[in-house]
Amino acid sequence: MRKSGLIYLVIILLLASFSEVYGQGHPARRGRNVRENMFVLRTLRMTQALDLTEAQTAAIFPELNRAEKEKAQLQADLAREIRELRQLINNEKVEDREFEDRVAKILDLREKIKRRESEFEKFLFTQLTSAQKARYIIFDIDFNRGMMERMGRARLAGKENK
Amino acid sequence: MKCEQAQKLISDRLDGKLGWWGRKRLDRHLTACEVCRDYVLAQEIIQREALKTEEVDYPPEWWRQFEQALQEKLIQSAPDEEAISVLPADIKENKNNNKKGRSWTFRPHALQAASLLVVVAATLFLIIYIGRSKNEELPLPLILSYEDSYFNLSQLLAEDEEAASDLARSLEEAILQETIFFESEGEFLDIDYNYETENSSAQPEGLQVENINFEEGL
Amino acid sequence: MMKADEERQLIELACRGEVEAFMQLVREHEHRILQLTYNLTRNREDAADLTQETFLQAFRAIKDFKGNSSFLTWLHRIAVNLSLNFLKKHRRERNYLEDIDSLEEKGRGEELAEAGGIPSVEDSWLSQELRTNLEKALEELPLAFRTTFSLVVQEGMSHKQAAELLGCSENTVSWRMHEARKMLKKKLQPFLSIE
Repeated sequence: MRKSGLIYLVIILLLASFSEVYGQGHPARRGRNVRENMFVLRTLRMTQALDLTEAQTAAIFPELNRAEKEKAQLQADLAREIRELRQLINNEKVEDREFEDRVAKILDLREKIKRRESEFEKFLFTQLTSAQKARYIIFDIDFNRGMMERMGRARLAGKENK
Repeated sequence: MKCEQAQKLISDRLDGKLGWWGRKRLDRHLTACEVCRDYVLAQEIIQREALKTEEVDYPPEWWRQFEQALQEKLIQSAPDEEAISVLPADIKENKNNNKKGRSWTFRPHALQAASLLVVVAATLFLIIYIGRSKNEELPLPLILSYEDSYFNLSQLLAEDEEAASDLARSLEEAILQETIFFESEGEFLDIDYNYETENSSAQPEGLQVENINFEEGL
Repeated sequence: MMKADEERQLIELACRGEVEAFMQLVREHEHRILQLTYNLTRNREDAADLTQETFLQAFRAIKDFKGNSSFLTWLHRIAVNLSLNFLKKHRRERNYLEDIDSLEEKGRGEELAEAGGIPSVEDSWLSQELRTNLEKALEELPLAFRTTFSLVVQEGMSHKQAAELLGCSENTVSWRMHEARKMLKKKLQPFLSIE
């Protein structure tokens, strides 16, 4: 099997363990959601943008999956905390202490997400060549921008359908 | 280098995108590969013919009518005195022109109202989309990490389930496209995206999709 | 061709709602926008409609034009978005999965074998056939490929510019161009070879 074919087979096998990554403790849903799809697309594009070798893929993907699992859970927890905070904000009966606790929790979650992301990127960079590191920076910027633009189009489509 | 890779480099070269190292590799391959040399010739011909694209144009009278109709619509959308006063009188009166031609010269009122609604919706999109594409300052997503970008995105989509569905679907289409593109063995990758995930008792995030529709997307 | 200063002044006036000032901008760029929308839609009537729509939207949004790109580039972006939405809605393209399947059926080996033969356009009849069939082949390209090919080859955009307009990465544009060219060559092979 050719190198690129093997890489993509590896990708599929690793990503097929989605149910394990997202199933445990992740919010209930049917089918794939935005987070999952972004992860798959980002992984596919990153593999191509960095031109990862088989050895690199084998080294990076387990940690990539682990990091994604943890970050997905943290993001879900953060979203839930923010949702609850929105409901609390206009409630005059809530004590200052409650607000302090909520805010502290949210800041803590954000810090944990940043830390985990930073840990993964440090690990990733130990596996990459200098050129690959440079390509990763550019890939990251382009991907984030692409996602926001894609979201803008999705919101427009939603407005037009209403 | 395999021919498939060489042909990709040929495409990049035709678009002026091939760097020094890519050119060297390609030239080395072409020296030894007649098939790819013929591929280059074929693509250069296609490129040359594609550049001779049909020039579409209309006679001056057509453009005059086009501009008149456009001006009328602009006036309707900006009904201040200064805007209207610059128009010749015949244009203000000529709103129900039944001349033969395209529908924009005599669109029925219902379609005009529908057109205006589309324009307003599209304008809202432009205000968001173009406002983000400034060159002088980096838009927020460009200076945020991936997780920060995702957080912003999830907050926006939490209030718009339909947009979340559309986004999830568009991401799936992109995944399908890219998996097919990058597979170089000529075999269609049979990917099953309909795997079952475990449910938990936690509240749904609202970023869900129920149907996977493999339509082409951009 | 309008000077930059003059254009800037007209844009400022148009921002204040002056229709005639905007119409001067329209006259400067209408041919270009019509050609762009025609290249994308391959239909004269639709191109005319989309051209008008482009200018309508531009007038409504002109206050948001900050001058970071040229006015024409800004119009381009509006025209491309409108054309793409139009084409997606009207689904004139064939299903691209069918195209990919038909390519895969034949197999790469056969395609490479067919690539032999020296292409020639000496024969004027052959050239006309090539021209006619190129138009048809372009129309039959799936939407994503056709749009990308049109912007890069016919509009002369770089991969980066096309990627910005289409909201995808440069790599995606690059791969789409490669795939589009492969598809076009496959469809046009009979008109590229001599017996």
